[in-house]
This record gives sequence, structure tokens and C-alpha cells, in this order.
Amino acid sequence: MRRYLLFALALLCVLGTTQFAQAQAVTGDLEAGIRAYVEDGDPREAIRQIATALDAGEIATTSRARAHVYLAHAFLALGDSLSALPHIQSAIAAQPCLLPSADLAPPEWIRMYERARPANASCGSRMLGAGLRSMVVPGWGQLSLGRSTPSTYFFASTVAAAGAALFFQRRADQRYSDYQGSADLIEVTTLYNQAEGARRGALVLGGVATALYAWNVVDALLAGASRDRSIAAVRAVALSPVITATPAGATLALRISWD
Amino acid sequence: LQRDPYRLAIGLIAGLCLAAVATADATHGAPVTIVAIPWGSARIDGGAAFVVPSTVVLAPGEYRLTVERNGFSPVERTIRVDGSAPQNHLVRLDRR
Repeated sequence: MRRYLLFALALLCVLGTTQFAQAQAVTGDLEAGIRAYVEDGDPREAIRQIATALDAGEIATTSRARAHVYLAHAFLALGDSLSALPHIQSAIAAQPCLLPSADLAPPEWIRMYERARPANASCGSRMLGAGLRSMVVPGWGQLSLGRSTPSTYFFASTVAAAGAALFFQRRADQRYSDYQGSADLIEVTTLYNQAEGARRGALVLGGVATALYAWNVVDALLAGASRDRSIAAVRAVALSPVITATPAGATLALRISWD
Repeated sequence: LQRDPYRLAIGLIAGLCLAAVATADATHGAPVTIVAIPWGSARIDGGAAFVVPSTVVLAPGEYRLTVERNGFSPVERTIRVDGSAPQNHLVRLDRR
């Protein structure tokens, strides 16, 4: 039974590694494209690289949305709104509540996202939803906010720590059971020490898993709150006085802008 | 030439057309893409403000580009437009 389990685990590792390597190659093009835009200010190169990554397929939903967002931004930077619009629609289709960073996108671009969003899309506060998701499955909240890398790290590290803690606890139980059933004086001491060592290991790893789990929930809440703040900043109504000089004197008006 | 005035006329018209196309191309200039991170408001030679990231077409020459945004230090730089090849300019704005 144990052999089969180990074989299944090894198979999963091999398959996982292969998938990860393929995903990395595609993500490489995507990241290179995003860097071309953000670090080099070269929208044409960004379009070329990101389109290659999208054509290659095998991109996760969150990364696909991100790819379309940067493609749209690159086209908009080139003044090509017609080419940008389908990518904004694709990004919204992949993630209905998606909103680009208010730092990267001018208000006019953000309005294009708002217009492309379906009227029935429920996009309220992201903080609570992200926190609750991460409570259910570590990393899920981060994933729902489009942060796939922290999501992977939180999920993998919490599950690994919890799995290792369970493994040590089972070993400790086994050794205690053997210790209670043994009549050999020397073996009894060894089994007891092994059981105590395994129990300590289980405690430490359980503590690590709990800390990682708590960190994952706090991180999801903070990331959700940050996203809420950026949306509020974009949707804020700005009031500014406008004073105009006229031949008869001066007029005072209040300008209300949705910015 | 006296024997073939039509050929002369066609030659003259073709020459004029080529010259017109060359002049139009030279004055039309190159697309210049300005990517500002975060986005901001740009002016070229103190002219009308426009939101960047965006692309403008500039005739060959030297220009003073200013990018600003509330809460950020303005950035000023000189850009040189040589020919018809597209150019990219990345402007990073730092918080004050």
C-alpha cells in the first residue's frame, strides 16, 4: 500500500514538474512582454511578446486576464482604442470584477473597463471575500485578486507544513503504540525517545502551518483592502471650484468630475 | 524636347509628385510613444496638456517634454526626433 502511495506521489511530482516547466515558458513570454511595457516603455514589443504568450495557450485564468490588461494598455498607449477594446472585454470575461491599478491606467482607461463590465456583475468589497476564500483554502483569496504567485506560495507552504506535521504525528502515534507493546528494556527507551522526537516535530510543524495559515488570511485581507482603496480612488467624485473672469466681474462654479 | 512635349510634361508632374511625397513624409514626422508610470499629464514645448501613456506624431527636431501629476515630482526631459522611425520614451514619476 505504502509503495503504491509513494509511486502515485512520485508520478504527481513528475507531472507537476512538467506542467510547471511548460507554464514557466509561457509565463516567461508574458512577463517579458509586461517588462517591455513597464520597464522599457515599449508597447510594440510588449504586444509582440504578450500575443506570443497568449497564442501559446496554457495560461491560467488570472494570468490570461493580466495578459489582456497589458495588451490593452499597450494598444491604448499607441492610441489604438479599437484594438484595445477586445482585450479589455476578454480581461473582464476572464475576471468580471477586474480593475487595473489606478496608477497604471488613467481614468479614461478605467472607464473603459467599467463600461465593458456586465451590469449584473457583483463587484462589492473584495476584502471580506478574499479573506474568507483564504480561510477555506490557503491562497484562494490571493488568487481571486489576481495574485497568482503569492497564492501558489501560500497554498504550497501551508499544505506542505500541515502534511509534514500530520506525518510526524502519525509516526509519533506509531512509536508510542510500539513502545507500549514492547517488553525489551533497551528497545522501550529507544521507541519512547523516537516517539517524543516525532511529537516535538509534529508540534513545531503544526505551529509553522498555523502561522502560515494565519499569515495567508491576513495577507488576503490586506490585499483585498488595498484593492478596495484603489477602486474607491478611481470612483471618487471630485468637486472643484471654477472661477471665471467675465467683463461684468467673476463667476464661481462648482465642477463635479467622476475621476 | 520640342518633339515630345507630353513626355516632358509627364516627367515634370512625376518629379513634382515625388518631391511632394518626400516633403510630406519629412514634415509628417515620427510617432513618439510616451509611457508614464504612473500615468500623468504631458506637455510638449509647453503646449496643450495631454494624458500619457499615449502616442503623438512629431516632426523631426528637438522638443522639451514635461510630465507631471499631483503628488508627484514633475519630470522634464529633452527628446530628439530624428526621422520616421517610431520612438518610445518611458517616464517614471516619483512621489514627492
